Amino acid sequence: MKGRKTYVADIERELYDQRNPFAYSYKTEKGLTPEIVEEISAQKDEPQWMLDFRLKSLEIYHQLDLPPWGPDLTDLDIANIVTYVKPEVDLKYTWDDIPEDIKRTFDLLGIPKAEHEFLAGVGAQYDSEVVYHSIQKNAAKRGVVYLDMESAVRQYEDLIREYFMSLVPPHDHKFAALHGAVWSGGSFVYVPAGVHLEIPLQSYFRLNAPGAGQFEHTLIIVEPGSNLHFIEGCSAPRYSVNNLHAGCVELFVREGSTLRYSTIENWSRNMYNLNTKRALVEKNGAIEWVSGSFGSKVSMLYPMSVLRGERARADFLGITFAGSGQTLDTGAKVVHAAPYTSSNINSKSISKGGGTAIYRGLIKITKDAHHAKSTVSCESLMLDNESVADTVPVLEIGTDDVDIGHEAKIGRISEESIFYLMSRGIDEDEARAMIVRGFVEPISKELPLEYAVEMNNLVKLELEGTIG
Amino acid sequence: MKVTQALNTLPRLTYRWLKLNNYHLPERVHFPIKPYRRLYMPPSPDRDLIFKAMDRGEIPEYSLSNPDFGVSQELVSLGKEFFNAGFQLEVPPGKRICQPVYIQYKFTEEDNTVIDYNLIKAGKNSTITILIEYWQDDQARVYHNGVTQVLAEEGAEVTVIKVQRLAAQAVHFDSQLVTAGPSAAVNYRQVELGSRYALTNYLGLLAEKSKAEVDVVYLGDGRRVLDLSYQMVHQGYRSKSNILVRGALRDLSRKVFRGTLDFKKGAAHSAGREEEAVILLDPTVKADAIPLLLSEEDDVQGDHAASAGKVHPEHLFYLMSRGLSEQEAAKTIVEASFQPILRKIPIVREKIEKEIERRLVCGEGKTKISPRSIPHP
Repeated sequence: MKGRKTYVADIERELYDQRNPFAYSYKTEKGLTPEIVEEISAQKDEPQWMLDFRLKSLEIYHQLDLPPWGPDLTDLDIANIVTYVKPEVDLKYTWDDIPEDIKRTFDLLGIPKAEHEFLAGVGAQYDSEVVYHSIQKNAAKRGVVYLDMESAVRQYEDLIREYFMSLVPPHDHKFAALHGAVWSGGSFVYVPAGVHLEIPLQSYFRLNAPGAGQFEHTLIIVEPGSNLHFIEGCSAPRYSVNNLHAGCVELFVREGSTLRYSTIENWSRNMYNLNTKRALVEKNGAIEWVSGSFGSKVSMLYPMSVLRGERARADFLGITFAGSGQTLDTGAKVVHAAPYTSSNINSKSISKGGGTAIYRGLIKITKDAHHAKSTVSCESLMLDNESVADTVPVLEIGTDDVDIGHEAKIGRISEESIFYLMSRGIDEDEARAMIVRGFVEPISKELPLEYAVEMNNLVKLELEGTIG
Repeated sequence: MKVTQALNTLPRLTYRWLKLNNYHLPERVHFPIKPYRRLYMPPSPDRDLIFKAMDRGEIPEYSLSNPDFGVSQELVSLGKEFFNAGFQLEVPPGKRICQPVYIQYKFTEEDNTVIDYNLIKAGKNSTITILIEYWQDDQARVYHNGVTQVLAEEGAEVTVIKVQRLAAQAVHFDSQLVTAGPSAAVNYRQVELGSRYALTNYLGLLAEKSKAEVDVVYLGDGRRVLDLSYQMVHQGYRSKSNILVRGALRDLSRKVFRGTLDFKKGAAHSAGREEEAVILLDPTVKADAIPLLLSEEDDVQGDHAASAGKVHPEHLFYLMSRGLSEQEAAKTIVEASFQPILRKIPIVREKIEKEIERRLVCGEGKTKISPRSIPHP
């Protein structure tokens, strides 16, 4: 048995790598100038305040430096990224109206089928613009708003103006500023008080253009006593040039409401995924993050939950799978800013084939957050010694009456567990497969069905007896 | 000398806005450079040993080429170049010294500055225990900057115990570099009770089959700041490390614990553990922990556990039902948590226990019973 290693197959990328010819009705020049920002704004026919906001963000962008911590970003040259690519189609409300090649892409990804079967609403973004948006009549009747961001800026101008980038201000970091300057697309969701939406809404983001950036903005407001499950999926075909994704997600979870935000991120291996996600949770509210990071060349993604009201709660379940050439720096941040708040973080990572998986997190308990409770568990599974697994957590505790536990583990599949299973009559290959499946199970069972299947494919095990 | 650099910088940086990547002294500290005359060194326990005050003219070669280590580069160079005290101890191969060697640095109003540079080298299969104490019996502001290098050659077993009992205004920096050769074992025990600013840094380099242990007890009260950093670098296969930290904080004290287990490629079959538990006695304390786990090798076992919280109300209630006051009960629980480590401290253990007791019961500020300790419905 000695010297045998479990070989976990890479995720099947063929499906995502179907690229369409690069067609567009409008795209900006590469790089970043006030003129480009003005052009984007003009293309969208935006109100003046939004243009001013973009230009201000651009200024901030130029003032900020790259973070001195985390993965190396020097290879990412913004001057070579096309920030805005408008596909050759306007926003449609039925799949039939969408041009054949774009529709085929989403068909292959299973989006229309999923909509038909178990979603209350679907948004699909292709490059910089949302090409499809729909919501079930039933949900719309109950006052749920699910719109592409551009339409929302026009139809709910006051609301958007109040909330847009209030939680993630442009001066937060360089890529938040970039987002503020060139954002395009994304979804706006508004759930009125007391509405329990039983079936999820889903937005899918597809970046087809080479050397481009995607900067969608997602803004969700869940009013008191409501319930929403939002699913976000992302993918892109592979190109030899770097692509950039710097989206922004702002979630407002009001008193007593619950929001589950599930993400399966499967960008191609030339993508810099520098996404910012943040939730503000009021009294008795709950945010539940379910996050799978599989793709991209470099990811920096740390969903943050700010527990502002008493007894607010944050849950984070994350899995990261870093293969060859990938540096996935992910984790969760929770700020306990009120008494009796609680958080539970469960992060798992697998690294193989020279991949780097990093858990980077934060638990911050402010001095007023007495009776705060937090449990953090990080587990890293390494499948070979070419790979790297790091854990970089911070616990910042500002008062005494708290209950904080943190655990982290690094290791490989233990020979003892294999031996145990084999002693029960299970053959070695199956034993290894069972252990890896067991490792990811707590997360895969929380994923929506289609994604659970996707993840199970990912951890499809193949064994090789010779590598050692 | 003005202390200018960032102190105890993390081996891996993280979010800047937390301002925890390193520590910056909140006030300007001018570190005096002046002579010190009070080093107390006992007679050598064995005539085969080299045991003498550090001599600027005769610094042994093995101490020269080193990786970066310490509270800051600046402070390590200060220690190595401008030391005013320190000792050199070399144990020849095979020699086993059972009696601990007890070295004291006493601080007074006059002799208020110690810049000590200590070198300990244990030859093949030798054994030695060294106890170093930094203390004062007045309230003068004193300055300490220490650099200690421990080199344990193949199969050697070295125990270094450091006890710091400086007064509430003291500035205390201490940097250790521990090199554990093949199959060597180095135990490092640290008791941090005093100082306004206590910044300590430990770097352990572990060769194959070596073992490094760190046991720490700290007590923060008043406005004390403790920033304690430990880094275990597993370079060789089958190396083992264990960091165990127990602390208690009260009043306005703050503590940062930085613990890193770093498994380098080639450190197969190694195991590292770190555990930090802190008891928080007042709502005004601040306790931060940054436990890093870094790995380039799959066949390793790295574990980290950290916990923080108040004294458990049920334990408190139990002891109080036995007739102890709330303060005495809390004190008993803190002492119980320190015991596994204090038990391993020779000679000065009783002194330490008394000091802890005094500080927990009387303290520098009185522990208030906050209305919040009344259970919420």
